[in-house]
Amino acid sequence: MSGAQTDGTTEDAVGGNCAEGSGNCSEALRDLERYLDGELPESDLGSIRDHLAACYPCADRATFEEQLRAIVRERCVERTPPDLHAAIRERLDVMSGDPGPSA
Amino acid sequence: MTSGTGSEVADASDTTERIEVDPAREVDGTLLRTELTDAQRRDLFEQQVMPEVDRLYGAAMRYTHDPTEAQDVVQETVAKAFQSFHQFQQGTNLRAWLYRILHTTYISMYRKKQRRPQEALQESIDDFSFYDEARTGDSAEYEVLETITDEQVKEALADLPEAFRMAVYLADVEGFAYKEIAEIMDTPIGTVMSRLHRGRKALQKALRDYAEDNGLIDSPGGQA
Repeated sequence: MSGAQTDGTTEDAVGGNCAEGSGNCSEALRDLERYLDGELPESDLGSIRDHLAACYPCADRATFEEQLRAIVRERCVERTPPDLHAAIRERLDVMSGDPGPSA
Repeated sequence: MTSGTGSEVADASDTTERIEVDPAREVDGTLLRTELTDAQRRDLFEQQVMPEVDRLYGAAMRYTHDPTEAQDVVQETVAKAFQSFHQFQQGTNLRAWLYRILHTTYISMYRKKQRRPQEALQESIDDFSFYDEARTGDSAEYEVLETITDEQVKEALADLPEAFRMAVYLADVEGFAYKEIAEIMDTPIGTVMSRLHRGRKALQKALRDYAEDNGLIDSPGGQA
C-alpha cells in the first residue's frame, strides 16, 4: 500500500518533497491557482515553473486544472437572441433623440 | 427582420465612419467629450460597446438563469453605459467598466426582489480535489472532463451561491484579473481570491458528480 519506495509516484510527491529535489510540492500546490490565473508575482514565477518542469505529479495536476477551466469556458457559451441587438439600437435611438445610423 | 443579425451588425459598423480618438486628448477626458457631437458619441459607442453585447448577454444568463431577464439586464446595462459614456475615460478598461455596470444593474433589478441571504459553502469543500477523484477511475482524466455537457456546466455554475458563481464566471469564462473582479463586484481582492478558490472547488465537486452520472468516474467507495 505504501508508495514510499516507488520513485516519483503521485502518492510520494503530493504534499511532500519531490524525489528530484526540485522544490516542495506543497509550496507549488499552494501557488498553483494564482499561477494559472496569471496572478503570481514575477519573483515567484521561476520556482513554480522549475518545479512543474521537474515534478510530473504536480505538472499533471496543473494540466488537469487548466483543462477543467477550458471546459468551463467552452461549455458556457450562450446564443444571443436574434432581436437583442436591434432592440438595444432602437432604445439608443430613442435616448439620443436621433434616427440613428442604422435607421 | 428577414436578414440575419450578424450581417446587420457588420453593415452598421462598415457604414459608420470610424471615430478616431486623438491620443493627445485622451489625457483630458473632459476635453474629448465636449468636442464630440452627439452623433459622434453615438458612433463611438456603437464601435466600442455594441461588439460586447453578446458577451454581456452570456454573463447576464449566468447571473439571472433566464433569457428574458438576461435580455432586460443587458438592455438596461447598455442604456446606462450610453448615458454615462461621456464619463468613460477613453483608453481605460472598457470591459471592466461595462461589467461593473452589468453587475450593479443586475443587483438593482433582481437581487433586491429576491432578498436571498448570502449563501455560504461548506467548510469541507476546501479538501475536495476533482483531480484526485478523476485519477481513481479507469478513464484518462481528460476523458472524464470531456463527457461533461454544456448544460451540466451551466447547472453546476447555477448551483453555486451567487457571489461565488460570479467570481468564478468572471475569472474563468471572461478572463478578468483579480483586481478587475474586485472592482466589478466592489469587494476587496482577498475576498475575490477566497470566493474564487472555494467557488472553483464547489464547481469541481458538482462537475465530478455529473461525471459520475455520465458513468466515467466511480462513485466513492463503489469501485469493484
